[in-house]
Order: sequence, then structure tokens, then C-alpha cells
Amino acid sequence: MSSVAQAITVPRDSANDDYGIVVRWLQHSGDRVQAGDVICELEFSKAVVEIESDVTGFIQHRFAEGDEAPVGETLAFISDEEPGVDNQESAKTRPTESPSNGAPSPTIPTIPTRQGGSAEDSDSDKHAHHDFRITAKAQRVIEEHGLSPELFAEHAIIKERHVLKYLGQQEGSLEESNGGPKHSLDCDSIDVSPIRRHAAAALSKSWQEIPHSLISRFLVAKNIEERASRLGERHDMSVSVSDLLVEAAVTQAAKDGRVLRRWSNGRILQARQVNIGFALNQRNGDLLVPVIRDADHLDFESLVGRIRGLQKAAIRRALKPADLNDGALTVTSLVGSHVHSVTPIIAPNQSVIVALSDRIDGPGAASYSLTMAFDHRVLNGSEAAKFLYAIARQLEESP
Amino acid sequence: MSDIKETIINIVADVLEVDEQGREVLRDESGQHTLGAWTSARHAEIVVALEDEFDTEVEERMIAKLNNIPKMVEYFGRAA
Repeated sequence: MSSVAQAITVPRDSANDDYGIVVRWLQHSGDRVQAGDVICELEFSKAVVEIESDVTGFIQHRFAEGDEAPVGETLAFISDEEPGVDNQESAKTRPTESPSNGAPSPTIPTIPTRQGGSAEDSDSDKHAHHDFRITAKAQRVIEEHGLSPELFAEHAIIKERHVLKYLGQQEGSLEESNGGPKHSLDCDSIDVSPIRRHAAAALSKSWQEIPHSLISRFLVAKNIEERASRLGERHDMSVSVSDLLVEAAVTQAAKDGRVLRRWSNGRILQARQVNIGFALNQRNGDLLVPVIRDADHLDFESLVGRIRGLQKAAIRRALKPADLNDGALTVTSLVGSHVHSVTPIIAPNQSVIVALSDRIDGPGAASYSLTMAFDHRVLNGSEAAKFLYAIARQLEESP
Repeated sequence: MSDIKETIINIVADVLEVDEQGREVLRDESGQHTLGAWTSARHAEIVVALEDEFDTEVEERMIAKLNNIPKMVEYFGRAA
């Protein structure tokens, strides 16, 4: 008797996440679950999401805790029969349509490999074939390094982490044989927060994929600080140089929407809203980038108020997904950090980040340096320069 | 009101991690412009601490306006 298996797919939590990390299974593989039961906790960059089963049946995990589960892939199957060895396999190979979007659930490609023998072997040798399952990510790494999938024959499903572990071992062996350091030297493992882990993944991805180009300009410190002071007096509030950077980026992005574009699969997409993210370093080292949505619709006091409100929400860990998603451009201020230049990394799904250094006191007049990193696939140098110059002029002009 | 003022000064001083000399600067009713440690990020932390102390919530547009001790005393004195 064959079983029917319902696929539970990995949802998309935000435009920035291509995968979620399986934090915890709440039901063991093989357990019977009821429709509506929470089966798993998936961690995305902005939130941990509880995944419910839509149907009643026996669950079979497709990922282990700690795995990266790509968006749209099958997270688990819910089968109407208690899984034995046979129908476990059956459920794996005959996923039904996803209940969430009606699209067929993606399957992990099966790579037939050989347990010896040559490619010209006869039909009789087909019985010696062994079917591996291999994730798309693992396949990519395997191909990049010219490895044979048979190296990972011990795994029923070859995952990226298996391949990376193998590569790490190879690298360690090589270093050891060369008299270099072993990875097992005295090291302490430091726990990393989910926010830091996701920020690291996003930054690594951006740095690898986006052709960054950098331009910069010095600003006269006295002019910017006077602007902050005058606006503060005018509005009877505290106004920082960092606030002015956000304001200038908003104003100029509203005028020149080219900086709100991004590269996507051979096309350029234009954001319709001026959603500006600003980098916030938390005391624990976490980096957050809250987003001011429709920032060009806010008057000055509302804009500064929104910045402070988001800073406050970040401290209280009360930022909502909407406060962190859909940024089209990011600014970051290193005022107070004692550094004079910075190489900012463009956020995923954006093409521009503008960074302000700390005050540079002499020689000569005190200054700040303003740096812009841009995706050279989206903007050319003169377009980027025009934007940076416009920001600089606004920052230095008398209000 | 003097109790409220002292409470606020202590909270601000703790967040800014200032020494006794810094507390004296705060008692002198200075604004944040006179203390380099009083950045916009630290200001948000101060407001969070004051909200907790006085069990009230400061609306967004008011946060940046509470930029010195007298204004804070007045605002949280009304809330207390």
C-alpha cells in the first residue's frame, strides 16, 4: 500500500533571506502530528518562525537541527502512514504539491553514482549503482571543488555542511603536512548570536557577489556641526551629525532614484519607496539595520523622531520585521569611533551604502570623510559621484 | 521634584558611565552637548532607562526633545 505524503515547505520570511536555519524540531521524525501542531522552529535573519503542519499524519524531517533549509524546499513530509523503511523512502520520492502555494515541491536531485566499475559497464552493473541525494548547495560546492559525490557515500543526503567539513579536513591536513598550523590549536569557541550569524552570512554574500566600487569626499567639520546645531536650536531638540547623514541621504535619494536600484538576476530593479536603513551597533556587538520606510514623506522632526524610536526599539529588542526589511539604501555613521575612513559593505538587495567617518582633527581644518560603496553593475562612477556630492553639499550647507 | 531630578541624574550618569565629576556637570543642568559621551545612541538608552523608572512611554517625536536634565525633570515629573 502506498502512502500519500504532504510536503511542508520552507516559507519566505523576508526578501533578504534565502534560507532558514532549523533551530529545533518539536516533533520527532516518525511521530504522529495533528493539523495545526507546531512542528519546527525556523530561524530567519529577523525572526524565529514557528512552522505548523497543515495536515494530520506522520512526520519525516528533511533537515537536521542546525541545517540551512532553503526557502521553497521541502522542510518535512507528513505521510498518512506510519513510516517504515519502505514508505519512508516512498514519501521522500513522491512529494505532493505544496499546500502553501500550489506549486510542486522541489525535490532534491538524485545523482546515480557507482560503487566501482567504469561508465561503460553493462546492465548487470546497474545493481551496483547507489543513489545519493544531494542538496543544491552541496552540489554547487562539490562542483566548485571538482570533488566526487562518492566521497560522501556515507550520507543518505549529502548536504553542504558535509562537503565543507570534508574540505576543512583537507585544508587542515594540507597545512599540517606543510608544517603549518592545525585548526585544533588552542582556541575557544565563542557563541554567536543569531543576529550576528545572519549579519555575517549576509555580509559575506554581498561581499562575494556584489562588485563594490568606492568613492569618497572630505567634508568640512565646522559646516556640518553648525548645521546640526542650528537645526537643533530651530526644532528645540538634539540633532546629531549622524541624523544629518540620514536626512541628506533621504533627500538626495528622493531626487535621484537611481541609487534605489539593485541588481537581480541580470536585471535592474527600481525601488518605488525611499526606505532608508541605518546601521546600529548594539552594545553586545550585534549589528542591526532598522529601516525608515517612506522616509521622504517625513518632516525633519518626524524623521529624527523615527530614528530615535527605532534606536529605542532596538535597545528593547522590540523591532518588528517591518522595521528591518525592504531597505533600499543604507547609511552608517562611525562618528565617535575614532576612525577616519571605512570600507562599507553593501547590504543584500541594495546597491548603495554611504558611510561617515569620525571627526578628523587636523592637520588643517577638521573634517569628516564621506564614503560611498556602490554596486558597479547598477551605477557607473559618475552617477555615484553625483549622489555623493549632493549629499556632501547638503551636509555642509547652512540650513 | 528634587528627588525626581536626582533620580534622573543618576540614571543618565549610569548610562553614560560618567564619574562624580560628570555627575556634577549633569547637576549643573547642562544639556547633552556638554558631555561627549551623550551621543544619540546613548540618549536612546537613557530614555529607555527613564521609561522603565517612571513606567511611561516617550513618544518618538519627544525623544530627541528631551535633550537636557531640566526638560527630563519636567516631562517625567508630569508622568510620575
